[in-house]
Formats: sequence, C-alpha cells, structure tokens
Amino acid sequence: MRKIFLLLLCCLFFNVISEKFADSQELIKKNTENGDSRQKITAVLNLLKEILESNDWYVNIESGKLIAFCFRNNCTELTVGIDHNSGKNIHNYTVTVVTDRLYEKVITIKDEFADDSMYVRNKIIPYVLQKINASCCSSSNNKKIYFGSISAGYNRTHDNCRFYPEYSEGSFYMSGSLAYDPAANVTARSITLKPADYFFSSFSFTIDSTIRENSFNVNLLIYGKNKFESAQNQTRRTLYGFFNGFEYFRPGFNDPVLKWNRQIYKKQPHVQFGLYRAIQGTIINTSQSETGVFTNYLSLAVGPGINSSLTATGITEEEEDELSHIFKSIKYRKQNYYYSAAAAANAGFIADRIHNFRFGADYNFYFFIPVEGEKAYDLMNILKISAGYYLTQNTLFAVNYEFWHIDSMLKDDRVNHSWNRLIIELKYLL
Amino acid sequence: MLFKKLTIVLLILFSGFQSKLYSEENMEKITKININDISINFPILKKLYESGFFSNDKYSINFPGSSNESESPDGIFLESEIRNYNNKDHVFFKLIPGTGNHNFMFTWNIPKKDAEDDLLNGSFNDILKLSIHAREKDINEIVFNNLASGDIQSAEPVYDDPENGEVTGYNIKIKSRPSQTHKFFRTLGELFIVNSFGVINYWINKDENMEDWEYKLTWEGVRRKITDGWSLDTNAFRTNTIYHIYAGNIYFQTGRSNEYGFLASCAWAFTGSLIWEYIGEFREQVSTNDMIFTTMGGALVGESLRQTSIFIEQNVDNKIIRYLFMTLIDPMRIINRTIDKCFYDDIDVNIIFVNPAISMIQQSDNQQYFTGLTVNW
Repeated sequence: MRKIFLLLLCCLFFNVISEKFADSQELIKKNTENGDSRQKITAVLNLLKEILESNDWYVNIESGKLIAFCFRNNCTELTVGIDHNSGKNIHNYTVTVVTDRLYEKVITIKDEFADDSMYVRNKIIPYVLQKINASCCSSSNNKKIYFGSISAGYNRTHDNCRFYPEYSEGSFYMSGSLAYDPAANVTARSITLKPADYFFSSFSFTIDSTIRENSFNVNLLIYGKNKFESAQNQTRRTLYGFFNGFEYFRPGFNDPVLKWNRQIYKKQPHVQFGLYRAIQGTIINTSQSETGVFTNYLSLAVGPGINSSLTATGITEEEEDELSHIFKSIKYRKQNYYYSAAAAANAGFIADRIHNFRFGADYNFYFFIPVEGEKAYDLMNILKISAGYYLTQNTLFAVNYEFWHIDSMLKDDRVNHSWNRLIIELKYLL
Repeated sequence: MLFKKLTIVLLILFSGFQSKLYSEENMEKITKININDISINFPILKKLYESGFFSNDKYSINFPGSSNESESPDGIFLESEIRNYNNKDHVFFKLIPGTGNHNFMFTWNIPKKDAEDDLLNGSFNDILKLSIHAREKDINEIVFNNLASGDIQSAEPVYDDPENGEVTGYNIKIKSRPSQTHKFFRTLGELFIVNSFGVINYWINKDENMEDWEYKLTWEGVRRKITDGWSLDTNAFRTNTIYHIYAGNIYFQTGRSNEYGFLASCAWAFTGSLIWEYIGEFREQVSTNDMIFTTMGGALVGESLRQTSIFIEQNVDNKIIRYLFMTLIDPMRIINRTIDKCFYDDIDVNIIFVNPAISMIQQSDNQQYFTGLTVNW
C-alpha cells in the first residue's frame, strides 16, 4: 500500500514537473517568438522610416511606435503601431495606422512563413503605404500651413517730439504678411525643425503719390524646436531656435518732393536701414484656450547692417564732402549711410480673439555702430500698441499707435529725435 | 624618405581603386532583351534599338526578323502596341523581367505623339533598371527601396479585395527629371544667363558705372582684381539693399527651382554673386557688402517669395491671375517648370503580380515571344 502510494506520488511529481517543463518550453518558445517578432516589427518600422524620410517626412520611432509628420502641402500627422500575437499555427500582426482617422488591420501570417521577415514586411508595408497615400492625397485633409493677411489703412505721422499727435502729414498704405508654419498642426511633444520649416515675412508700402515709404522683413528658421503641450481645454506651443532675418526700412525721402530740404520733412529723421540678422535667437509662445489665443515672442539678433544717421542730415552739398569717412555715398548726394555692425531686439505680445477683440504691444530696438573705426552710433526704439475688433471672422478693424525715438552720435555730436504715428487699418486674414 | 613612402601608399591606393573599378566593370552583366512591336506600322522599340538607345555593352537585343540569335527565354520581354485610349493613340508597353521572378510584369502607356521623346528622356531607362533589379530581388523590396531612395515618387499598392485581400501589384510613379549632373549644369547656365541681363544693364548705364572702375581688361587687371581682395563699396543705398537682394533672390530661386534644398540654394546664391562680382563687374573691386547682402538677403527674400508663390498657386482660382502673380514672384520656378513640362513627363507604371501557376502555363504556351500573357491594361 505504502509502495503504491509512493508510486502515485512519484507519478504526480513527474507529471507536475513535465507540465512545468512543457510550460517553460512553451514560454521560451513564446519569448523567442516575441523576440523574433519584435525584431521583424522594428525592421518594418525602420524601413518605413527610410521611405517616409526620403519623402520629406519627419519621423521618430518612440517606444515601438512610428510617429511621423509631413510638412508638405498636405500636412499630415501619422502614427504607425504594430502588435504581434501568435495563435495556433498563425501569427497575427495588428497594424494600426492613425492619420486623419484610425485604420486597423490584423494581418495573419501562417506559421510556415512566420520566420520569413521579408514575407512579413511585404504584407505589412503595402497596407501602411495605402493608408498614407489615401490620407495624403485627400484634399479634405489639407491642414492650414500658410497664415497670411493683407491690410489697407491710413497713417498719420506727427513730426514732433511729443507723445501726442501734432502737425501731421499722412498717407494711405498697404501691407501684408505671410507665415509658413506647418508645425502649427503638429501635436507631438517635441520635434526638431530644419532650415526653412518656418518663416514669417511682412511688407508695407505707401500708396500715396507724394510720400513713398516701404519696408519688408523676413525671418526664417534655420534650426529649431517645436514643443506642444495639451491640458484640458488649453494647448500651449513653443517654437524656438536659430533664425536668419533680413529687414529693410526706407521712409519716403527719395521722391524729389520729399527731400530733406522740404519744409515739412526737414526735421524728419534719416532712418533708412537694411539689416541682415545673421545670428538671431527667437522664441515664440502661443497658448490657446476658450478665453482666446495669447502669443508672446522675443527675438535677439546681431549682424551686418547698412544705415543712415541723424548726424548726416540737414546739410548742404558743400558740407557733405566734409562728413566723416564712414559715410559712403558721398557721390550719391543725400543718401548718406554707413556700414555697421548691428544688434536688434524685438519683444511683444498679442491677445487675440478675446470676445472678438485683439490687443497687442510690440517693442523694437536697433543699435548700429560703424564697422570702419569712428566713434559713432545710431540707436532706435519703436514702441507700438494696437487694439482691434473683428468685424467678421476674418476682417479686423484696428487702431495702432507708434512712438519712434532715434538717438545718433558722431564724434562729439549727439542728435536725437522722436515722433509718433497713428494708424487706422482694415486687415483681412487669408 | 617620406616622399618615397607617400608614393608607395598612393600607388597601393591607386592600384586598389583600379582593381575595384575593374572588378565592378566585370560584374556588370549584359542583359538580354526580347523586343516586339505588335503594331507593325509603329515599330518604336525597333526604332529605339536602331537609334543605339540600347548600348551594346549593356544589352543584347532580339527582335522578330533580327539577325541576332533567336529568342532568349531567360531575357527580359518587352512589347509595344498602339491602342486608342481617351480618343488618342497611345503606345502601351508591357515588360516582363523574365528569369527568376517572372510572376509579375510592368505595364505603362504614353501618348503616341510624345512616345519617342519620352522614351529617350530617361524614364524608360529607369523602368529598365527597375526591371533588371527585379530579376534578382524581390519586387516588393525593390519598390520599397526605390521609394526610400526617392527614385520613384509614389507607390500605391493594389489589392484584389480592399478589405482583406492580397496585394496584386503596385501603381508607381517614375520620376522623369533631369539627372543631378544635368541639373547642376542647368543651374550654372541659368546663373550665367541671369547675370548676362545684368551685364547688359550695366553697359547701358556705362557712364554712371565708370566711376567705380579700377581695373583694365588685361592680365595685369585680372591679377590685381584677385590680389586686391574685397572691400566695402560706395553705391547707392537702394542698389545695395534692393537691387542686389533682388538679384540674389533670382540666383536662389534658380537653385530652388532646380530642386536644390534651402542650404544648397544659398550656395547657388553665393555662386551667382561671385559670377557677378568677378565677371559681370570685372572692372570694379569685389564688394564685401554685395557678397553678403546678395547671398543671404537674396536667400531669405527668395525663400519667402517662393513660399508666397506656392501659397498663391494653392489659393488663387483664376488661372491667369494665378500664373501672372507666380511669374512675378518666382519667375525661375515657372521657367524651369515649363522646361521640365516640355521635356519630361512622370510616367505611371503598373506592376502587376501574375499568379505564378498561370504565368508558367502562359509562358510555356507562349510560342511567339510573350504576347499570350493576358493583361488587363
């Protein structure tokens, strides 16, 4: 009896052991399979990454998922995830493609082909390509990547040193702006931006026959980061990086009727400049909530410039020859300028769509020193404030006020001047 | 001693390089191609052969009635046929890579009137290359790799059943574009043409520009121009800030419209500026400020205007207004696009997977080349 009991116990023991062994074998097999399938999935994702990158997509593979962004015309965000599980004689690869909507497909591979990584890849990639093509080619998925505006208005320049307007001369003008910002649609936490992935440009010119003033400004990203956060009903985006920029400003003095000896403009500062912002750091923060859209920005730059100076105006042709050697255009009368090393700063904020209102403030600072050894500088401060009301979804009526201050120095002579400007404009957002 | 050692190292490197070249040359196989023009009145493939398109050291060609040996069953099969498509005559092509992976084929068509030009412009060569690769590798892999390298623009898989079906082929778009070398010389040529307009304007205003002349058109002048280096000029403010930036913008757009990236196009803007300063304005000293403003101001304004042009293209419905503004804003894009449109067309190619069993039967039944293989064009 005791022997039988022992025998039964032994049988039970061996049974348990063999089951455990079988289980562990199964587990090892499963782990090996999982390891193999993980390798196959990684290979598929890497190949997809190569394909997408060669077609100008930005691709990251994070925790087994491929996340990509396309900055071309049909800006699309794409996520590809592949999961694996095995059943009896089959392997299921669940492919999830998220573009404008979610696509999911279980691709079943028979056991006999499961080890053939090329076979697995050939089954999965066509499906992903099909979904990407379907999504990218659909015009309904086009995201807004250009943000533009055109404005027309009337500005009244008050050529005196007081803050409030006095003795005015005005002109009608047109202006416009265009920003190329495909990253505005990106919802990934952080992506790296490459040259020309963001730019902002603006221009303005007077349409008055007597006053000709024109300006343009281009800021282009060379390398930067776009960060995005989302919490409850609020989103926050930060774009920062290394930019390049070029700014040109020329007030209306080139027209014969607006030369410096004209009565009304004799005191107007000679403030023309062209500035290449070779090294420019910029940060732009935007947060959006039910209350409105709030943007603040800061930009600091240095680079070569070409600019005029208050110290070279209001002089006769005879006196012009006695000017400092830094002033270059002696033979082109009344266009005196010097080549400079410049520093510029720009900071501001905009509170937009607050019950159809828009408020903004902007401060610009420029500092020029001649590159050809002379004790001289030119310094300019421009403060702008604006308030506007949206007449329609895309039409803004705004009133702006600008205060300009210039301080120029050459050797021991120091001149400064300030004036202000009132602007009424109608802006249409494209 | 050091010189001797260096010579030995260089000789070893050179012999290694030579043997590599030699071995690569030897590795290149001659591909046999069986061509057949079904429409006897329009033997385009035969014409192509006679024009020397299929170079002898790469291809061995057989066609009905040719003096060459008879059909090579292990070669590529290529067939043309004129058919009516959308009320116009088109040449339909069918290509079977042949040995190894002959369970798929390429089909494509081009309008009859453009056929000869299109075939010669490179896209046909691209399809041939693709099919030669397809003889040795898996076709899916070739499609994926070519997508990754950018050699084919897009690949749309075709399923027999959209939901749970198998892939039965791909619709691919073969880029038909000038080669990289061609683009390089085209860009350089365009920079010279653009600058020549500047030179004409410069000589029209000769009297005004003479004030800045410092060098004579002699070898001594060339030597002085090079050794004097760069300096800041005394031109008008508007010339330095507007005209030079506009010129730089055109140089940059020339690069961009030849499919160069932003940074490479900046380099082209610099090259354009160098051409102007050293050749266009030979008699003046090279201006430092012009080199900076033309290159970087031009690049920044150029990219801005290029994007504005794309924006207009996408948002303005009226065709005349659209093209007018685009031409004003980014003329080089319109010029190069027009040139490309005249000389290059993208070709849509269908890759059709054929059931291997059916393929085998049809191949064996195929007495006269491969016309027995049924294809739904």
